[in-house]
Amino acid sequence: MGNPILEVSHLNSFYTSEGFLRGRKARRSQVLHDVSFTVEEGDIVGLVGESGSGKSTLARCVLGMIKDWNGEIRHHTKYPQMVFQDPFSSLNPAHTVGWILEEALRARKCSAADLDLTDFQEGNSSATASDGKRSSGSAGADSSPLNHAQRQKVVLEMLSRVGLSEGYAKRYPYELSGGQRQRVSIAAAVITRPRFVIADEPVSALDVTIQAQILHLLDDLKDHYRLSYLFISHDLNVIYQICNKVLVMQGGIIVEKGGVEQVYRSPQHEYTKALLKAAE
Amino acid sequence: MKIRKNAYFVTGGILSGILMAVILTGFFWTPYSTTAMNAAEKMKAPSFRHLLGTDNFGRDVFSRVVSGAGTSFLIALMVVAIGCFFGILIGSLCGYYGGIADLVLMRICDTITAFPAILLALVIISVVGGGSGNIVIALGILFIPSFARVVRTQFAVCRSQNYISSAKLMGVSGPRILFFHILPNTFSVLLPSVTIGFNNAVLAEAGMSFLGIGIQPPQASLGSMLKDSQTYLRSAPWYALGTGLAVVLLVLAFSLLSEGIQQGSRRQ
Repeated sequence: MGNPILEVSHLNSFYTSEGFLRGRKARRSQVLHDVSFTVEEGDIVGLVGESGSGKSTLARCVLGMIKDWNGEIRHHTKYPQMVFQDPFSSLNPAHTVGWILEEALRARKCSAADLDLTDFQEGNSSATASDGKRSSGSAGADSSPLNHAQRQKVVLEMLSRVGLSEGYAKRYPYELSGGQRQRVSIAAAVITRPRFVIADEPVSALDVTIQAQILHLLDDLKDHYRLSYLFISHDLNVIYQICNKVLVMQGGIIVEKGGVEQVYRSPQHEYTKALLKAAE
Repeated sequence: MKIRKNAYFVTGGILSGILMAVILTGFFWTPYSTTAMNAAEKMKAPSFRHLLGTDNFGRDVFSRVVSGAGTSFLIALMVVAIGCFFGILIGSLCGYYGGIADLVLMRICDTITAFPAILLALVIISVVGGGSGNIVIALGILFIPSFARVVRTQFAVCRSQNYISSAKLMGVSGPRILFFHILPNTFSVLLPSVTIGFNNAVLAEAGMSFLGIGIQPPQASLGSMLKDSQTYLRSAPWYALGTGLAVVLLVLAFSLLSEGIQQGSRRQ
């Protein structure tokens, strides 16, 4: 606890409506106003607000998908990942689940060391002790990218960790249910062992029983991989179930932030009170 | 894809399979020489010796049809290959990156499609000269826009999908996203347009040869044979009939196949 994972300060973000060659003038409007918050190690920070309040914009700014912003976004971990709301558009329909998961490992050229895979270290336990000063002779096994067979092994392990059997590796996304797809999306986000994941409404497209399973899975992965989440939702009940901190956003402004219990017990801002009332 | 219930796919597949077998055989062996003339056998009606009869020079029509179909097939194949390759390249870059280059290239494509392909090919051929190599290049260029447009649309749709955002976050490189993540998603629309393009190429080549700017005699070509047979439509109807039938079969087979593929991919 306490180590910052992500620090955002005074973030302003803008959206420019398309105007080129369409007879309209391009209009640049501000979406986020002076947003500041910190995600610390082990946090699950909930971001709640109505549609259009700028929740997803914030996520996209943080992950660099939107370029038009000023302020400061400081990541303290490498390669943050994201889980999307719509489980049907977040998996490539042309590829199998196994291929999609393996692609993440391929793209980063992940080595056994990147993934903390002790069982791939060919019985040479001293290699990890002398961190950083490993001679090229003994480095070999764990700092070189995994080969195909090793990646396959990691993929199957990951699948079983998100509660899917090995057979799913050969299936195509359209053969899976919404909940199964979301499990695969989560697996794809987590397989490269990021320390920070943004989950953008990961359960709002799912029915209530599946919601509970996915929330449980996220919690389980958090402990296992020492993850921190920024968890976006419009549903305060979901936030209450999983988060320890909460940011309440309205019209691109964070109107209230604090521990989830504190915000629940004694909301300060009118908007938070209204949201709580609506969630009852 | 449930192949058994797909009548188009089955008939198209069988028909093009037979044609392919005949054409492939024709590359190595035909019953008679396709160019040797024989004054004694002029204008003979179809018989067991000459399945489709003989023409005004005493050449076996069947042998010439097979060989001409082979030429058309090869030319169409290369035309589609050129069109497809550059179409995919241009379409993917335009669709994915957009911007000014996309705007300019797509307007050029519109301009090219505004003219009939044969007319433009005629212009190109009259500038650079005839020969099957030039026909392939001319038609190939003219076939680029149709593929580029199909590919571009698919890429423009796919680039904003979450799975592409997700691939970017995973650190997948640009070219890999283009050709391994998006391109496979265009196959379902690309495949039918390849078969349709193939048909158009067969017809374009036949049309050009018919007008005398395509394959030059004495090499057999369906188009130039149709032109020659016109003169003997009354005295030797088998000449035109056999040749025309070959064109129809060639186009029909691939049309059925294309329709079958489209139906199959729609079911998914």
